[in-house]
Amino acid sequence: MQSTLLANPHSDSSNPSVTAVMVEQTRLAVLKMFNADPVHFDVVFTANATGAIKLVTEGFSGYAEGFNYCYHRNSHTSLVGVRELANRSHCFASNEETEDWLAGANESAFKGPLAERPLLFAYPAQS
Amino acid sequence: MNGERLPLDWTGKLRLSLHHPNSYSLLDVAALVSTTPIDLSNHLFAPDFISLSFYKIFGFPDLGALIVRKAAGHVFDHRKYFGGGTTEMTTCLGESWVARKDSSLHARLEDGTIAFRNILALKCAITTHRALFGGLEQVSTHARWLASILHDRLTSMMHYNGAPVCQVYKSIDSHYQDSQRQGPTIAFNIQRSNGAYIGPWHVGAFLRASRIHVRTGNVCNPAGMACALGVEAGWIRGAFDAGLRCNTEADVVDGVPFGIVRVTLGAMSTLEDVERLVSCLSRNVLERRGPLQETAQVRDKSKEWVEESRSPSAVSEMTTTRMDPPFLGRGERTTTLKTLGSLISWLRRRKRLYPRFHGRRHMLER
Repeated sequence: MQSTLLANPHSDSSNPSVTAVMVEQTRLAVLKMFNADPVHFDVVFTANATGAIKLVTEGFSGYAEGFNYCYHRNSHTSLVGVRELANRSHCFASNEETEDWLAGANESAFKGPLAERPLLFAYPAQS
Repeated sequence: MNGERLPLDWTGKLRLSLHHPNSYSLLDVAALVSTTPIDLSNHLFAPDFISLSFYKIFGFPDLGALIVRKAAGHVFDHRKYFGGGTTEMTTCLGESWVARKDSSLHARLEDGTIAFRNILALKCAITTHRALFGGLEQVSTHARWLASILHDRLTSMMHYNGAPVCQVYKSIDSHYQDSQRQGPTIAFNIQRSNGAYIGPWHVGAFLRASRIHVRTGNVCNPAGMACALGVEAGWIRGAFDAGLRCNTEADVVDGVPFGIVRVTLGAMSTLEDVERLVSCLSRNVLERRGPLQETAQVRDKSKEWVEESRSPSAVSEMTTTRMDPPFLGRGERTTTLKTLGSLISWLRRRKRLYPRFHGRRHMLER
């Protein structure tokens, strides 16, 4: 930072700008951390994990037909909040209920004519 | 909530399921990757969207990310909002038209100025973290070892009558040696020898007084918390109406602690940290003898105020009494009960705090 002029890449017309190159290198370093191939994955920087969740929510809430949402009970508040923009939502009360639903069990609490809308299923890898 | 890990293959199952066409998965790895790596090498079974927070891994910078599986990127074609830097051209007067950037997903989704200084710090943090700790695999092994020790220490802590000090909230399917099902996080509440809870806010307060910081309260996990505590939505709403708020002093309602104490071990945690936590808890809440046998020569500030709120010990409180902890802002007062006047005032205060213990002491007071 002491030796390089860093600037908002949008306002730096040099092509490519030093900042833009550094940002792209960092993006690749993040993907490498998780063994993610840049051909198949992209990294979008956000303010925090909640910002990432809100971005996904913005995508789904843009569908004209809306979207359905189901989430595991261990979800962080920021995952729970997505339900407020969904047409239908359901909280899985247990791992068993989640597994049953994934397997298409008829007795699952969250069923119905769902395919008409996209569905988003969210859960935390660790609670 | 309690560090339970859920199966990572659910995202692949969802994608392969014929029962769930037009479905997408969002995996929140913020807690997991703070100590444990994830492997996205198999993109066919990977989640469509992954949310994470870098400060939880590195401590700095304050920055998050969404990792998107490009095959699911079309979801963002429906996104309505656009911010600075995400458009090629826009018209406003006469016609509302916009051409969004299509060079990459991140070019379309990063609204406004990106946190470029934080991104530079992230680049340094990734390198430094690996140099210091040898990568998340090493961190995972270290944190699991510490968590396993802490769990054993907490669950084996008993009061004089054999009652457990810590009620640990752990999924029945997981244990601290199994990194597939459990992360290095321990959620618990503290109980007195009579089974009554010391509210998590109070536990956080006396630990803070010993310069130990833990998370207390509802830990932003509403459903997990309700299940662990065995309370239903109606009870929670009733408690809220009655004034209960997250992580505040009056956090035990109807004998139920509404919140938990949560400890997470990470790359920087040491065995000494574990020992300090256990010994601080032990010093403050462990009841070593029955109320009437106890002749504590208590000097530790934080212990003395916990004495106030647990089963009272007449002898110990008469020998050394400091009723108000300084960090509750009511001033530090040490009272040695020598004169009859101070004895009476002590009994009055005691009666106010513990009315049911004072039936036979009325004579003295008169």
